Amino acid sequence: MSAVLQVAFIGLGNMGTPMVINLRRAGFPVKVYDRDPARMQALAEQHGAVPCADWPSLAAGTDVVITMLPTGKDVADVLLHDRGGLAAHLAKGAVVVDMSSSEPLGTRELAAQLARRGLGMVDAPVSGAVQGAIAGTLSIMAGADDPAHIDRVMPLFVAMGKRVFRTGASGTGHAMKALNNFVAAAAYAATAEALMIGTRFGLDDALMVEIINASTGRSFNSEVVFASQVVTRQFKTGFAMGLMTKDVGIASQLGEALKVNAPVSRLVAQRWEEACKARGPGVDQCTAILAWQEQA
Amino acid sequence: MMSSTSNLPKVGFIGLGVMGTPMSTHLSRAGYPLVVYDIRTELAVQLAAELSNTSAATSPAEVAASSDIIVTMLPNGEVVREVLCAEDGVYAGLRPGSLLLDTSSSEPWLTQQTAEEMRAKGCSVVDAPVSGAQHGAKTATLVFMVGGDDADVERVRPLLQCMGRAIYHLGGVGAGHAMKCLNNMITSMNLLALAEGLAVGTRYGLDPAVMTDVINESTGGSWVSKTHIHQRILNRAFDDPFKLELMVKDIGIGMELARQTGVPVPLSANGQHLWKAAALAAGPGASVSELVRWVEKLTGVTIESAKGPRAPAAQ
Repeated sequence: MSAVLQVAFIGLGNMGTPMVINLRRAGFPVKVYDRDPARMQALAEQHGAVPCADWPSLAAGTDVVITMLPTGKDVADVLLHDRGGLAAHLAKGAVVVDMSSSEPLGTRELAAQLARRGLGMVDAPVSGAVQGAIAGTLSIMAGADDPAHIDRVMPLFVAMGKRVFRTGASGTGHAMKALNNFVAAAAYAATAEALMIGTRFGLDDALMVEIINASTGRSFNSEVVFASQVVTRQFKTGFAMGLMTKDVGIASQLGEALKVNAPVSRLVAQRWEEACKARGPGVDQCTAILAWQEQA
Repeated sequence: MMSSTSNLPKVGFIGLGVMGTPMSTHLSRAGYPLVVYDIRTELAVQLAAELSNTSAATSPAEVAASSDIIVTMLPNGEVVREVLCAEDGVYAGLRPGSLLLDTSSSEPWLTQQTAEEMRAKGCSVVDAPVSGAQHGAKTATLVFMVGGDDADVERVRPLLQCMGRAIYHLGGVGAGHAMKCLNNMITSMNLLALAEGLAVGTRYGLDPAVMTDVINESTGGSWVSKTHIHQRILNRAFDDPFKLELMVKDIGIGMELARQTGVPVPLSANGQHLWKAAALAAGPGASVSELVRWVEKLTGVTIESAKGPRAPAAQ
């Protein structure tokens, strides 16, 4: 039982790459897969990860598969559909850890399908963005139908993150992630609207933010995003508009699917879609206020 | 230290409620000679008996007649206008050179109207609404959001320093009142979004107590999420002392400012409708926490941890 976990890591983007580096630094053997061979090569040369081009070689000897992909659909494709799916090649008892920000109802379904093949599943999305991934200080929200699966992969979480929240059954991590981002996006939008009114009235935006941060209106967004990124015109939170829009959309659709009447979530999702459409998915999410100001 | 023969300005204080009483007490302890008034005259008589060098007035006019600086701490801007314009109101006793310091949460456009009238009488206005609530008033840790001309603001700064811990001068008359309602508008939207997020998560199967801990550690965290959910919702107390109708009032001021300045704010506009509906359902006098109970009705989800209430996780 004390054998070192053999990891297969899929998705070597802005988040996945530094997460693999932290796993390697902690001494875990890591096989890597990405559609872009150059990304695999860089991790192989500098950090001793093992690049794999096909599912059988990726699955051989693997205890834990970690996915860090743009959407839950990409995760399901890799595991079940693409070239017959990676899951068909994994040994019984292996655990899939989806650290992407996937859609929670889809995660429940995927966990059930994997369970039928004797595979475990943990959904473990993160907050802390690229800086947190590099520093190994991510907050991890972990859901699993079998808590023992979380226990098993905990050494990997410790290598990549600072704090692990156990949120409940399969899908709860993903639900938590999307709902947190909805609450954050709403706080951003409310703060932005107040600044738009106040500056039009003649108030100074930097002073407004300073006062909000000394008052009941303060939030992570007002204290960090507005104070250091928006009023300074830096606009660098490292979180893309398209990803924020996706997460808020997941939260809003989750409410719809569960028949929970949550009108603010619908409107926040719509506002972010507007901003994403106007400015593009690749820009920093904290520039949304610029899109909304242009409507005014 | 506290000399009754000091040359400190004479201060009139109108409105001796849960905020005005401790605020005027701090001024008195700092040595300001006071004349105090409340529509419930027994409050003024009682306070005058407790404080040194303080007298009770029987009308706002009487306060104005013997004050250099008149402080108001009243429920809203309409009440401030009544206190000014009534037959025995402030205007009836006003001396040229006096200054009105309105610490109420008034409508900025009413404050600007008052400032014009006061200017015509050779007087001036500073608006300085507060955040920090009753606790801040008692401990002299209020945050003042100040609007007014520089010289007028400097004139009242020593008073504000006696009653608060921070003073932000935002601009001309009305700027403080604008800031106050906009801060509360943000607070109200944060609470509304949080309630919806907790409702959706609870229905999905998340424990709202764990959700709150995660949010407080993450980008969704806010003053509201850290002070209101474990403390007033998950324990089913719904007992924040701030009144729901006052929040609705502040949102209304913010939305009127948006209309006057022509800024489209769809999220706040929608939030206003929802808060108004909650106020109708909860009735007058209800706590601001009742907004969450109304969201529970709207969503059909009780935001309650299956494990019962507990303290927030350490941060």
